[in-house]
Amino acid sequence: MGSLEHAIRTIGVITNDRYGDFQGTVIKGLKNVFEAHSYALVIDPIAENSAEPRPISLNIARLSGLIVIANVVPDEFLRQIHVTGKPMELVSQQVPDVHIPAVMVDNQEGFGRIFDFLVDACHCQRIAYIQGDLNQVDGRQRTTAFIESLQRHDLEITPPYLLRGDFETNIASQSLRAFLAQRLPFDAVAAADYRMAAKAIHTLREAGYVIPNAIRVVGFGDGPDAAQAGLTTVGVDIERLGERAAYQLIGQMDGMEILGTTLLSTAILRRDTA
Amino acid sequence: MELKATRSQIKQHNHRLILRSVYNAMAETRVGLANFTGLAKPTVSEIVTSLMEQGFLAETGYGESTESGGKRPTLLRFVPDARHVIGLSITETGIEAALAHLDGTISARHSLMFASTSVPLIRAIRATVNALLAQLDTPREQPFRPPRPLLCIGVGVPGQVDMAEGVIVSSPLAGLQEIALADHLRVYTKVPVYVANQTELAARAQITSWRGTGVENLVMLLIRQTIEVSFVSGGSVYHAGGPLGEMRLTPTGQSLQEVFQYQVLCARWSQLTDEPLPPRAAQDETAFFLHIRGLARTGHTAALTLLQEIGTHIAQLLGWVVALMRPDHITVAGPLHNLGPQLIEIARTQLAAQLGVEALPRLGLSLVSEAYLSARGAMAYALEEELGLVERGAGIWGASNMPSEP
Repeated sequence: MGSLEHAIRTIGVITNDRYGDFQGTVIKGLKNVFEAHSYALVIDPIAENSAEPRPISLNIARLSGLIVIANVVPDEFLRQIHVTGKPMELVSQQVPDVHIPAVMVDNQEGFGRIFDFLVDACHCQRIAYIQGDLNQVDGRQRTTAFIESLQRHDLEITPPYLLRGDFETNIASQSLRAFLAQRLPFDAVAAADYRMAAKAIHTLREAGYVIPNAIRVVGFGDGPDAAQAGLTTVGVDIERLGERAAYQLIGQMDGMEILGTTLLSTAILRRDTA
Repeated sequence: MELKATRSQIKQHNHRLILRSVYNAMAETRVGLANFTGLAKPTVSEIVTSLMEQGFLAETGYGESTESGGKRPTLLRFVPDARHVIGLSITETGIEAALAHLDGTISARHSLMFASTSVPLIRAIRATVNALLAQLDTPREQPFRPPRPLLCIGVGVPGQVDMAEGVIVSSPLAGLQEIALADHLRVYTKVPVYVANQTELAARAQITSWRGTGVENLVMLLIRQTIEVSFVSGGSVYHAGGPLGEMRLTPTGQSLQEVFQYQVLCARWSQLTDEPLPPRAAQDETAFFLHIRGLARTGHTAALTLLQEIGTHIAQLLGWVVALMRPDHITVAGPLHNLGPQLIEIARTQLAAQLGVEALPRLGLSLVSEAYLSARGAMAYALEEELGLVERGAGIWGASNMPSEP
C-alpha cells in the first residue's frame, strides 16, 4: 500500500474531488483549524476519476484521525474503521445505526426557509425541483425537504416536477430542457445546489423566460457562479462546515466522546432571481 | 423577620441591571445608564469597567455632546458573542441541542437519535454537550485565540423537575427518578446548569416570542410519545408541568398516550381503509401526517375520519383546560402540527360543541413544530437565570417554527 502520511500528527481526508467547489471549500476549512493546531493534512482523492476508482492509499492505522467527505466510501468500510476506535468525523454523510459523529448542512431548515419564501412571499404555486444526487445524504435530504415543504403549503407534487440533476450542471440543464418541452405550467425552479440553479437560469433565459418576472429561481449553497448569476439561494458557510468537522475531530482526539450529528445553520441570500 | 440583601447580591443585581439596560438599548452611555437605573455615576462606571473586562460590554465610539457642550460621551454596546450558551431538549427519541451567542443567534444545532446508539442516557447527554463544546467558536481571523467560553447550559426534560435544585424528580424518560442532572453536568462542564420541564420551556419560548401581541395566558399542549401541558398565566410560566399521557379520557378507555401514538394511528388507518400507505409514510411519522393531510384536503373519507378522531381527542383533552383557565391562546406542539390547519378547525368545532360557542370567541388556536423549541426555551431560561437577559425576545426565540401572530 502506498503510504501518503508523513507525520505522527496527521489527519487523513478521504474525498472524491479535492478541487470540487464543495469539497475544496470543506478542505479549506479543515486546513484553517488543523494547521493552527499543528496537524498535517493528507488528502486521498480516491475516486477523482469516477470511471476508475482506486483503493484507499492512506495507512489509516498511522493516522491521528480521519475525515470523510460525503458518500465517497461504502458504509461498511466506515463501520470497520469505527470499531477500531480510530477518531473519525463525517462531513455530509451519515451511517445508519452507527454513531460516527457527523457535521452536515441543515438541509431541512434551509429549504424550509426558501420554500416558505417562494410560496408565502413570491406566491409561487408550481415549483419544478432539480434534485441532487440521491445516492448522497444531502441530495436525499433536500428532496425530502422540498416534498415536505410543499405538502405543508398544501401544494401538489407530481413526478414531472421532480427533475433529475445529480448535482451535475449538464444533467440539470438536460432535465430542465425536457421539462420545458412538456409545456407544463410552472412559476419557479428550485435546484438542490447553486451550480445547477445557475445553469437553470441560463437554460431558462435561452428558452425565453424572464427571471424573476415570469419564473423565480432559487438554489442551495453559494459561490462565485451564484453571485454572478444574481441567484437567490440558501446561504451556507461551507468553510465553517469544514472547521466544525475539524474541531469535533480534535475533540475526539483529545478524548471527548462525541455522538450524533451537528447541523450548520443556513440563511436566505436574497439576490435578483426571486 | 426582615430580610436584607447581602453586598454580593446587591452587586450581582446591579451588574445585571446595567447589562440588561444596555442589552435592551435602554441606555448607551455611562451617564444614560446612571439616569435610567438610578445608580450613582461612580457605581455605574465601576460596573461598566467590570463588564468590559469580562467582555460583555465594549466601547464603540462617541455620542453627541449635550446642548451645554462638554465632553462627548463614550458609547457602549452589548457584545453578543462574548459567551456561548447551550440548550438541550431531551425527548423519548433523542436529544436536540443548540449552541448560541448571548443574543440567541444559533450557530449550530446538534441531534442525537437514541435509535442510533445504545449508550446510557447520561452518557448520551454528555456526548451531545461534548459535540457543542468542541465547536465553541474560535474567530476565523484569530484561529490561535482560545475559544470563547461557555456561560451556561439549559436543559429541558419531560416529567417533573425540581428547578431550584436541577433535579429530575420523575420522568417517563427511561424511567428516570431523582436524578441530579444539573449537578452532574455542572461538575462535568464547570459552568452553571439549569434544568426544567421541557413543555414549560417551550411555553416560555413561545410566550416570549409573542410579547407585545396581547397574549398573556397561554396553554401549551405538547404531544409526542409523552403528552404534557404547560400554562402561562399573566405572562409567567406556571411550574407544575408534567406528563398527562396516562389519562384515560376516551370512551374506549385508551390512554391519551395510546391515542396519539404514530403506530396506533397507522393501525387505525389500516382499520379505516385497505389503501396502503406509501413506503415513507409507513415508516416515518412526519411523512405519515403529511400524507394524511394531503388526502384529507382532497376529501378522502378515511383521512378525514382519522383527522376528525384526532381533533376530537385534542378537544376532549383541552375542554376542561379552556373551561377552567380561559386562556387567550392554545398551542398544540409536536409532530401533529404536520396535519395542518384542518386539524385546528376540527378541534375548535369540537371544543365549541363541548363548551358552547360563546366560550371560544377570543380563543386562539395554533399548531407548532416542537423542533428545538424546548432547547431554545432552555437557553433562554439559563440566560435569564445567569444574566437576567430576557426582555428583548429576539434570537433565541427565533420565530422560524412559530406563527408570527397568534
